[in-house]
Amino acid sequence: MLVRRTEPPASAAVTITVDGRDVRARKGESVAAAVLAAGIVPTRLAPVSGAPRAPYCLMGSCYECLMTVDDRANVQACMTPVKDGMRVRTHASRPSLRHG
Amino acid sequence: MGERADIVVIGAGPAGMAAAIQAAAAGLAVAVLDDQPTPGGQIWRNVEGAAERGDLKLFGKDYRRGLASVKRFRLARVDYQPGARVVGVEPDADARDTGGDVLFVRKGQAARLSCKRLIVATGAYERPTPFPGWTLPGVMTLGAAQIALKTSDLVPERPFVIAGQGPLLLLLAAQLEAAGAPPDAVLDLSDPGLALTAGKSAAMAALLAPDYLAKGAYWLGRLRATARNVVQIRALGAERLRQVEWRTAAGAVGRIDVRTLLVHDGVIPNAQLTRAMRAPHLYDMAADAWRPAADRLTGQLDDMPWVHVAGDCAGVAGWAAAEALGESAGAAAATALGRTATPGRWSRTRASRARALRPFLDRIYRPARAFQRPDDATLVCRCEEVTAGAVRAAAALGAQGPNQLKAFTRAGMGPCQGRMCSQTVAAILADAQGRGPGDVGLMRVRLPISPLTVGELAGLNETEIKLPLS
Repeated sequence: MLVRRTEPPASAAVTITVDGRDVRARKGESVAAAVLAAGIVPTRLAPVSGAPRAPYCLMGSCYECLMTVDDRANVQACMTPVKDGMRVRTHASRPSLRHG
Repeated sequence: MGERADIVVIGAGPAGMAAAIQAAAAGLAVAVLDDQPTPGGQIWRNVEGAAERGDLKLFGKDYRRGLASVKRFRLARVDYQPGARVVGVEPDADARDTGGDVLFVRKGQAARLSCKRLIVATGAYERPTPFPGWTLPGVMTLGAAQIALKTSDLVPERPFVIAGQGPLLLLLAAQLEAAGAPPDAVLDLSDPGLALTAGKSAAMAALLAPDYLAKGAYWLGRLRATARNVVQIRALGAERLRQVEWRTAAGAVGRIDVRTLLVHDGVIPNAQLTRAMRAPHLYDMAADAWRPAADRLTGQLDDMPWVHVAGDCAGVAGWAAAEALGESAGAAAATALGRTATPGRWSRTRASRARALRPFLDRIYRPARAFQRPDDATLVCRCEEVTAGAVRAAAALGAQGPNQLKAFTRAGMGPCQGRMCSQTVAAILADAQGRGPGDVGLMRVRLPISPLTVGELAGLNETEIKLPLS
């Protein structure tokens, strides 16, 4: 997947949570990039077979990076810039109508 | 509803920025809607951020040049709206070519922005590359890796392999080398006669990435040493990518342990919006791609004169042509609205010079057969998980065209709306029917071209637009 060449300096870093876990991200980068850099895969299960998936094109074409961002489901994570305190949930488990 | 802008430009890449600057200079009210957070498009993605980070040198001269264009755009009197996702365009109801509405979503709210003239500059995207295992986590496009490097200073986890064909293969390999993460292997899927290993002209490579490659044969030599000309690849792994398997024309097979695989097969126009508008499109056989039927200089659509296309979405020709054509589209649109506008005097020359190279590039960078004619077990539609075999079976059952085939198989019905499969589906159908892709056509694209929530849809006609947008 992807690894950081250099850690962003504190002034250029924000923290988001991904599936409840703190993830440091670089200001201005996308949620998908931050999730990939944190080594979190899969981020989604294919709806037909349940096969594992992860962000693929990072430019809004493939819709492979859909995640829940601040309680909005099916957001394109590669088109969403990170913000401090953002809560991200991957779609790596089957959806449920249960709360929480 | 609300106020009407003179010109709306969709996209803030080289073409969109140039068009907006030109039209604004003519004194018109110009709004630019772009889905990215910063201007520059994919080629100059995050060029301001990279400059701030001191990383411009990693990406070469063409990228550095973007900084000046972005600065010019920032200074122009343009109503620039980043993070705006366009979902469709509706012409005025009287259909008398007086303008129309651009439907878009920004900050979770949908709205209609009415305009007299529209300039579509939506760029290009990577030609889909179906092969066995391409949906595994760990497989990404080459473009994705480049975006990650530009925006996040991220490099692929090693060991990693680059596979496919196209000029971007050389460029990204060089950029990653400069970033301290050279590929562990390059699997070149070009026709054997055109392979890197067969000695694709160094002069040609130099032309494409001058500041890396004109320095000499150093990089090409290095690349040749790690490159292998193959005819098929497979990604292997259960939960994530573990290995890449390759096969040569002579039948030799090998496997490489990898963490990351980057694939690429050139780029094609992103014509999703003009297709959804039902504008006529042409199949360009040399490029193996569709583009809107439009004037080659002003980008004016043959059937919808109030709409112009500019840049790679009008036919892939690179950033220099895109900038020149953006300028010329911006000037044409301003002139049509009664203003005096003069595109830079070199516009036409620059555009035709950049385009003159295209037939040659198209010839030496033919799409890879392995990707364009996948075997039966390969998924072609990632969203709905439809295999090439299922598409062939539907074709054998008598599916008449791509739209019927979509109904038979669900290929193209997922959230990406066929961006990742419609070309492949059409190519398979064309083969089965013994017709050309230009004859078969592509499956229909419908508004909204990207998903809307019910709340956004409900608010679409309620949002009052005031200019400039806030």
